[in-house]
Parts: sequence; structure tokens; C-alpha cells
Amino acid sequence: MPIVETRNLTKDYMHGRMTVPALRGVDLTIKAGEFTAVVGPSGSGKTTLLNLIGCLDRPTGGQILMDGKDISGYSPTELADLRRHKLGFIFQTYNLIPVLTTYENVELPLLLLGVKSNGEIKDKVMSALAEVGLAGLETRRPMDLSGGQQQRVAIARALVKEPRLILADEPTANLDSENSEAILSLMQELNRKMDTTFLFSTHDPLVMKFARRLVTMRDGKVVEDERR
Amino acid sequence: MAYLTKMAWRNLGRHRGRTMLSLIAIIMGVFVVVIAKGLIDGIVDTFITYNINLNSGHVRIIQPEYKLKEQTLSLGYTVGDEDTPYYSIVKDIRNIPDVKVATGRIRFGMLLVAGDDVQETVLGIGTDFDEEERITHLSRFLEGSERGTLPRAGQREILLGDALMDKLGVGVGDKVNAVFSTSFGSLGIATFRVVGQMSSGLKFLDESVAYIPLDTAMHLLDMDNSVTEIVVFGDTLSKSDAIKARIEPVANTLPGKPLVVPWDEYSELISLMSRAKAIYAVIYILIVILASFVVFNTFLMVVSERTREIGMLAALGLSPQSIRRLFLIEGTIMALAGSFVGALLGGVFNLWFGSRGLDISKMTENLGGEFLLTPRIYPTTSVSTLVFSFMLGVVVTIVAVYIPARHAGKLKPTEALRSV
Ligand SMILES: Nc1ncnc2c1ncn2[C@@H]1O[C@H](COP(=O)(O)OP(=O)(O)O)[C@@H](O)[C@H]1O
Ligand SMILES: [Mg+2]
Repeated sequence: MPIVETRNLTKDYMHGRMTVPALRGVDLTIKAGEFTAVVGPSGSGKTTLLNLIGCLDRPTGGQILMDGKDISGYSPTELADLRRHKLGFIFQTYNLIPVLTTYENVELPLLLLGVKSNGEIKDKVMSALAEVGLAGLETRRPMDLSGGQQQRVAIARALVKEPRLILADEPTANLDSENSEAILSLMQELNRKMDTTFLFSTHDPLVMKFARRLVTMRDGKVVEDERR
Repeated sequence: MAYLTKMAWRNLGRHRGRTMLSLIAIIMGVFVVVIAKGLIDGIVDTFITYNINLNSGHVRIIQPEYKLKEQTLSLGYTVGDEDTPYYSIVKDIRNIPDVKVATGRIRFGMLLVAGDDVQETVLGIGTDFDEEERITHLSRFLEGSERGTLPRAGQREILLGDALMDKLGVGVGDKVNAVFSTSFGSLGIATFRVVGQMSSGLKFLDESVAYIPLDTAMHLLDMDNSVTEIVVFGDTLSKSDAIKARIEPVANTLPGKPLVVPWDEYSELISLMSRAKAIYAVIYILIVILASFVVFNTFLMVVSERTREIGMLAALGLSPQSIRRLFLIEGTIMALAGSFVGALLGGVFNLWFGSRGLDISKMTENLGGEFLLTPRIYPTTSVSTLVFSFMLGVVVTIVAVYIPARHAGKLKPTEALRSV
């Protein structure tokens, strides 16, 4: 069974009195272990699609099945539950809670899941931080980290609860090319090693080359779906 | 829950200045309420206590007609007669459970004349000084040098206020002549020796009252078995209703079926005063609500500034309720800390001025004699005032924070994430 399946997904935004169609019928299936990039020009609907798959917003039409279940009728609290249990997020910027340390930021998803054992929490946080190469920076606050380091913390935080799917909307948009490549190879390595499923958007050709599946969007539609 | 508290606690430190501003607003609000309540309770309690002691008792037994014509100081409507004399009535009443003091007073109009052409109209009060000592403690107004003593029973001795004595030009030991009309309407004249000079700070006592012994008054006014009123005191004021209920059957057997009037129905002014605390409670609440606007605005600002962060927390799976709770905890910490400090400072202020007293002579100068206020009043410090003010601060602040907190919980994750 796929992790996510969208069926004829549409999303309209109201712009004053005007209706702006951001998605015009997207059918997309994400299977476990995939490493997929959604690409396309600015305004083509990448963010909208990722937000809908991330259960952060509701579609105007069509269906989203998460592990086979239609989430159309879910309440905001149920959607929050779903995100907490199944999804990890990496955003463009300002990803971390500024008042929490690196360790505490990464620990938060586990606390939200109600993990009680301090030993278990510590093991998981430390190994996630080790995976992203941040061992030793546990007590730093976000503002004392570089942009690349902050993205690594965000990846560790998304990773720590071993979610079904990690969504990343333009994760490298604010990084230089060196850091961008480093972040992508890290994601790729995690995908290979731990079989973590990634779905990320980008319009950076440098980033695209890492993807094993390339979904191209234009004007709210998927125009190409290429596996390599 | 623990992680929410940890985050809320740290969030308080993000904008120290703003947190301080909110705290100061809560502290000020609660502080003002504590001192205002201490002051007003002090004034109201002083007023009511004096009125109870000097005038109304816990309950007062009077004829219905007397109540209607009290101002005229008529001696026509009295309690007790030859068949049921005053002394036996008070004896019966003193046997009623919880009654501590029951004693008669005669109020009458009197003209005091000293020297050739100095005269003053005064309120004469015939009273049993032994009983009066257990209620009004008139002797405390004699403290200090050369103020003399209380009049003795059966003697032509009189107790006057210092301001009245100044006007009459008499001192302790001097004689004054009194002109009055008896219960039969005939003119009476008697000479009294001034034995005591009251200095109470109350206009009413110091300027316009002359106390004489009850039996002397009865004799001179031709009312051997009766008084104009009997005042009754119980162990505590709270028992006045119970005492009233027990005295009423006794009163109904007396000639003229006198009324048993509780302290809070003594006059319109007293009824108002006895309800004043409740009225002021509304004002206290308004003061704190005013202060809470600062907190409300601060939290609106905080929520709007952290919108992106709220979106991120939502993405991590924090439920709308948890996001709301995060801000509520932050507000509650402020509410508790601010209210505590405010109540503490207010309590210290009240204790300080409660022992020194506060000069309100500017205010009392122009008040009529029926306002039983001394020029120096003592703010009260009660645990209940502190608890009331603390709770008020906490509850109102949390309510003020609730609105922005709920707004934070209701933000749509995508919109929150898009904000900068
Ligand atoms: N909240 C919104 N309100 C109105 N229009 C929106 C909103 N979000 C996106 N859009 C519009 O929807 C379209 C798709 O946007 P988006 O999904 O952000 O594209 P991308 O991420 O590929 O740049 C664009 O035309 C954009 O202007
Ligand atoms: Mg986008």
C-alpha cells in the first residue's frame, strides 16, 4: 500500500473575489522508500501540493489517502495527530524553536508522541544528531548555529521519530550551493541507509540531480513523472 | 505538559521588557485594589462600628412612631411603662442566649447655658455608663491630661465633648445649666457639673452630644420606667439576625409592640454603607480589567510575532488545544507572579498605614456629624482582602490572555507558516 495517494486533487485560493486554481487535478502516489523531488517554476503549485499531503491544509476537491485512509473528514485535532505520528517536516527557513536548544528541538517530536523513557529519548536524539553530523552541539540555541547547521537540526528533528514520510518544501532555498549539496547528500544517505521516504520540492537544478524520481509540475498539474 | 511549561517559561524571557511591562501592569492593578479595598474597608468599618456602638446597637428596640419621628427627639414614644418597667425588660432580654449587652438610652433635646449669654443646643443622651463601657468605651475618649471622669449614676454630672466645651467656655469641674422639656411637656431646668471632657475626633461626639447618667435623665425627664430605646449587642455582629428573631417575641408582648431594628436598617446611609463593599467590589474588578488590557495587548503582539513558530509547532503535530495551552501557561505564570507581588506590596502598604493611620482630615472637615469618621483612619489588612485581590488578578489576567491564546490555537497552519 502506498504511503500517500492523491486522487484528482484540486485546490483553489480565493484572491479577493477571484478564484486562483493552484492545483487542477493532481494524481500522485508516493511509496515507501522513494526519494522524490517535485519541480517546476515558481507558482506551479509545489508548496500547495506539499501542504495538502502534509495535512496542513484541506483540498478544494479530490481525495488524499494516507496509508489507505481518506482524511477528508478529519478535524484539525485529528490532522494534528496524523502529522505528529506519521510526518516529518523540513521548511525553508526559521525551522527551529528559538527558545529550545538543539537537543530540545530534536527531542520535541518524541515528547509530543508521549515517549516517557529518558533513556530512549536520549538514545534516539543522540543518534539522530550523530546521523546529521551535529554531535557535540546539543546545547546550542538555533541563533548560535549556521544556516546549514540549522537545516541539519531540522532534518534530525524530522528523522528522530522515524516518520512514514518527510516533507521538505524547498529545503535548500536559503543555502549556498555547497551547503545545498551537503544537505541533499545527507538526505539521500538517510534514504538509502534507513529507508526513510522523502518528498521535497525545489527549482534548483543542482538539487534535482539527487532525486530518484522527478515529478514536474506546471500550472497546477503534473506534466511529467520520471523515475531514474 | 512539561515541555509546554518549559517552552512557556522560556518564552517569557524572550522580550524581557515586554514581560516586565505586563507584570508591572498586573502588579499595579492588584496593588491598587489591595490598598483601595484596605482603605475603603477601613472607612466603612470605622463608620459602621461607630454607628453600631453610638447609635444602633446590633439591634435596637424602639416604638414604630419613634422611628418615624426620630429627628424630633420626642419623648412621647417610649419603651417600658409602670406595669412593664424598663429594668425588668432589659433583665429579660439579657437572659436571651447570645445577648451580651442590653441597655437603655434616652435621647432628648437640651439647651446648655454657661455664663451670661453662651448657650448651645445639644443632643442629650441619658445612658448607663457601666453598660456603655462594655460597648462604646467612652472612657477612652477621656484619656490624656485633665480630662476628668465619667459621670456617676444618680448624680447631676455631665460629660461633654471638647469642641462643645470650648464653645461654652467651660472646663472640667465647672457648672452648666441645662434647659429641657420633660415627657409631660413641662419645662425643666437643672444644673450639672462637667466631670469629663471627651476628645474623640468625631464631630458628632465632640461638638453636639452631652451624656448624663440614665437614672438622672429618667428622673429629670419624668420617665421613671421608660427609655426611648434599648440597644442590644450580641457576641458577634453576625448573630444580629438570630438575636433579632429571639427578641421579637419578647418585644411583641411589650406595650406599643416596639420594633426590633437591626443595625443595617438604622438609616438610609447605613443601609447604603453596609452594601458599599459589594458596590466597590465592582470597581475593584474594573481596575484589574483595566490593568489586564496591557497584558491582552502584549499577548496579541506576542501571538502575531510568533505566528510562524505557531505554524511550525502545528506542523510538528501540536494540537490546537496544546498551542492554546502554551500561551495560557505563559499568561498564567505572569498572572500568578504579578498578582502575588501586587498583593504582597499592597499588604505591606496597608500594614504600614494600618498602624500609623492615614490623615483624612481634609475630607472629614466638611462632612456632617452623621458621618462617623475620625480625621485619621486605619486601612485594614485582612487575609481575605489579599486573597480576593490575588485571585482577582489571576482570574482576570488569564481571561485576558485566553482570547489571544485561543486565536493562536485557531490559526491555520499554512497561513501561519507563510507569515514572516
Ligand atoms: N494562500 C494563498 N492565497 C492565494 N493564492 C495563493 C496562496 N498560496 C498560493 N497561492 C497561489 O497558488 C499558486 C500556486 O502557488 P504555490 O503552491 O505556492 O506554488 P510554488 O510553491 O510552486 O511556487 C500561485 O499562483 C500562488 O499565487
Ligand atoms: Mg513554493
